[in-house]
Amino acid sequence: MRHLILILTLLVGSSFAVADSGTDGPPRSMVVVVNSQVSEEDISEGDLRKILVGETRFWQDGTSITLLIQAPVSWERDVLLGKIMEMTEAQYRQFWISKVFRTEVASGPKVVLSNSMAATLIGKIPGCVAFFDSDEVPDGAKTLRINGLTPDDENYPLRF
Amino acid sequence: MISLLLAGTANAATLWESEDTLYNLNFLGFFHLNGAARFGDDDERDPAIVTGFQEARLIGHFSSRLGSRFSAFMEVEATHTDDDTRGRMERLILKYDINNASQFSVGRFHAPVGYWNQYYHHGRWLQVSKDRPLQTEFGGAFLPAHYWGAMYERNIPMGERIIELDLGAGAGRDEDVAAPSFDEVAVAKRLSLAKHGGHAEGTEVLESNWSVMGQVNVVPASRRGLAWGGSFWYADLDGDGLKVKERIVTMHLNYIGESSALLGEIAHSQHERPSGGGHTDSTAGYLEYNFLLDSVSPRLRPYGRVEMSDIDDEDVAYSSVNSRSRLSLGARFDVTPSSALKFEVRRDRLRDGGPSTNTLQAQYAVIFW
Repeated sequence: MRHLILILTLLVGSSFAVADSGTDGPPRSMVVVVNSQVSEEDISEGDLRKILVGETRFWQDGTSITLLIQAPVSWERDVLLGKIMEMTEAQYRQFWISKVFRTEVASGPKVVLSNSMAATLIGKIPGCVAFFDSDEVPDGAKTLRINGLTPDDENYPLRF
Repeated sequence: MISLLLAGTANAATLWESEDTLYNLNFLGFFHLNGAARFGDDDERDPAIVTGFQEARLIGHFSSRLGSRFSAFMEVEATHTDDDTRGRMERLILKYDINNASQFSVGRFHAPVGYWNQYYHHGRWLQVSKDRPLQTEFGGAFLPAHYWGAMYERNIPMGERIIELDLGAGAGRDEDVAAPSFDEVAVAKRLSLAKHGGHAEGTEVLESNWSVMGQVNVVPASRRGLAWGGSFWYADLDGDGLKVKERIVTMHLNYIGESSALLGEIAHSQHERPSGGGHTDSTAGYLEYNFLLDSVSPRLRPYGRVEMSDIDDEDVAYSSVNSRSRLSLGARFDVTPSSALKFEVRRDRLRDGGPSTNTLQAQYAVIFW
């Protein structure tokens, strides 16, 4: 019986630890990184959301947007889905399946398994856009200001 | 100069190859397995209701970007029933993105007539309830399901809402009306049913040569909340010495919430005989409510649907469609994120004293993504 109580205590404790792991520590900033050929320097939160939901598929110069999103169980994906798109993983999945089914888009966002993979693709694909923790931005990458603000500014909107 | 040209060629090749890796084929698949059993009073059989094993259907949806603005879509279907196994192409679309808000396409489409036809169609996993409503049922003729032609789509932002506009023109219905179509599951049963429904036993094939259609859907930008809209379809149906003008309008009002959804739609069809034969009016509609029963399981979604179709007995173009009402109560349980089990108790009633039938319906629906 004592073993059972101990196991249950550990399980409950570990579940709290997992649940809290995303919110502990100081706030982190999300950075929007684009291929260097993208002419935009700044983007609004609203326009960013339109890219994330596939309503905006081209940059202003007509280059098609290739959207990269990290695989599940990553801080970047959790923030994009939970804070910006306000969708659960299941809703996000159904949302893109429906868009492809209705032939609005040929495919959903490209899933990248790691930030290094995202960094490689960002450098090679014109019009590519990805999201990084501000501490993990690839060297030499072009980042967009959000509403004219950078992660160093006090009111930067993508700080979570 | 030569080195510059070579460098340019190399860059172009790199760009081409890197883009090409993204233009890969995407596959989206649906599969469902249907069955049903009768229960309760069963004084007179409704031959349109298939019991036991109903069908197994696999839908393959292939799509690929062909370039920065061109994309291609193809949807194929394979169905197995007790009577037959067959396959057919459902959609074949070549699409051009004019800009962020507009697209132009040619090919074979789902007709943008009616919300269900456009948003769920073959995607049983996408919908909560087991089957389509009567007005868009598989092989049914009330609403046009497919057409060959062209379509212009435009999204117009309006504050927190988006107006989705579809305009199409084409070669009319790509299925026969007034006769069981090729993909009708129970052709023989429908012909027999005509006797019960009061229609003439003989059927005449009517084909349409042209059609224009449109759909407007006002949706929240978040895709959750209140949405409404409507659609229209104009076509001429032409048979052996018989001409009919077909005019269909539909209206829908939906609420898609975090944990519940209300779907309502009504469709009215008018068939006019130009040679002074007058016109007939037929109506069909449904109202469905589903909700997440989180207190029992976050994967359990009970639902209920009432629906009816009221077909004019004199309507020559709907000889294979019958007036009936249907009440369905059921539940969907998501076994895994990609598969769902649905059970439903259903009562069908044919109009004018026709037989009523109680059935227990079941479905296993899967998505490959």
